[in-house]
Amino acid sequence: MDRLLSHALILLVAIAIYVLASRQLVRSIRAFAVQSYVLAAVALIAAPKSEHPHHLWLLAALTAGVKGVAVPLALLGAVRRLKIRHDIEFIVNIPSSLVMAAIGTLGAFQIASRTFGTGEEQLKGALGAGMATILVGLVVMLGRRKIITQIVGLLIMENGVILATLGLTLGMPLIVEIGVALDVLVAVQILAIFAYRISNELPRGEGPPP
Amino acid sequence: MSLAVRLALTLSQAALLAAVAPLVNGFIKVLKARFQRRVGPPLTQGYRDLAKLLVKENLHAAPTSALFRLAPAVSLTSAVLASATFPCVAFGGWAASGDVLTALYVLALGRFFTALAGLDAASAFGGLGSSRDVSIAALAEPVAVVAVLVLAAGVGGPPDGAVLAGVHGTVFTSWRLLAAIAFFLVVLAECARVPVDNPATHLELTMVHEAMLLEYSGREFAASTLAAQVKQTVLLALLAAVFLPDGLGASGDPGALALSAAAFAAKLFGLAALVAVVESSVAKLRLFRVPDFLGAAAGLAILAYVAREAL
Repeated sequence: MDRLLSHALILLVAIAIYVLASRQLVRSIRAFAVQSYVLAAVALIAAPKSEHPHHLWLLAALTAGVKGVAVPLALLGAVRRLKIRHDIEFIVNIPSSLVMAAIGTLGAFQIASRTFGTGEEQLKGALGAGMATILVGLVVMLGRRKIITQIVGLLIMENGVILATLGLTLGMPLIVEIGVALDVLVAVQILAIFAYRISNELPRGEGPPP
Repeated sequence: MSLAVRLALTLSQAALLAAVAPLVNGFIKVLKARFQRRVGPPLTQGYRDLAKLLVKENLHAAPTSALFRLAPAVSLTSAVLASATFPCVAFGGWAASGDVLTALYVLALGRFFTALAGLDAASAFGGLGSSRDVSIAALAEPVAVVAVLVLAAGVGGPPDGAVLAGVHGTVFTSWRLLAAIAFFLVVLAECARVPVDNPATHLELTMVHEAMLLEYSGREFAASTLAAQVKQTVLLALLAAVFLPDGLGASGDPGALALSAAAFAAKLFGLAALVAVVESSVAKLRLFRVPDFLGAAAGLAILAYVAREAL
């Protein structure tokens, strides 16, 4: 079980780095969907350790359903409506952002092991992986120009937050998790509509000029 | 085991890897042809090409110096030497105490001389090939070194090939797999394989490795070609024996030795098949995208380090 968990955690960070290194918008949205499924799998792995395993089952179902299906579909719909056919536009190029992500990942695991290195974590390594995912998501947000790619970065950061809370306390109270999931769904819908509106109102591109 | 036996073992491994190199290359070619629904050349085509080249005379362009004639020998020797630094079948009695980093840098020596020879003929294409090859090597080398050092961090000593291959019980942990993937991407770059270079192309503007060998002919071309093939086999063998050492035998018992030799052959040709699959399914990258490709490999290698330390 521990080995499965460590594979899943590494896969989560690796998918975040894959999004950082990929040039195609649709691919990074699909990768985010896969990342959400892996996160759901981590919640399932963590379930037997919890006092309320059914809470984590529900969290897994919410993650897979909302962030694995509904949010990616909304984003893909937005991409289709906005008629984005270009590659992603970068502010920071890929090798530099990979270096930033590597430094962030090393730092995240260092801090996590310094702070909670004595077995206070519920899931070994999940806090570090979560913080690394948050930082990589941040680099995704910082380095891209288009709104949709920034939304993807934000969602990856959100996955990292869920992972970190799973690692520390086996998840937030259920009502909070449900609230967060709905918030994300609504926020993505609003942002997608905003992106569409902005591209209709402004003469060029879909975002404000750099 | 006495020193003589261990020395014989080491040398026979080096000779065997060199002998099997054209076969591995031919295997990749046949598999690629099958993916394109062609019959492809026979598996022994590599040996026939070498035999044909060996009876042809060497021709030299006017501006070449002695370096040009020296380079094929240096690159072939370095590739064969590198194959003796790590055990492929049994890590029990190993004579060479060279570590894996030595293997990588001995291979780099061969690449250095090949690049110089590409410049020596003073043709535009050779120089182009050399410049590209060296810039790719400069990006690939740190990734390979980090991947090896991740493995060595577990041993706590120098990255000795025999010791690294002997570390069992950690196989298929996530960090070892990540380091292996990172090293595989480096192998693709080092062996002039598809996402970085196209070994089948004869269009001068896109060639990298072949462009450096354009001026060679006869026995020298045979040596250069064989050197590239041996280097490819050595790197794949390194991946099979050190990064994924499942099935590697520890004892000198003949039965166990035969079993681990079979396991090694299966891994070697499996990896060659993987190269063929990658070549058939991925398009060649533009030259300026190569840093992205190797950057991703570096990311994987660093992630392997993190996974080793934290998980």
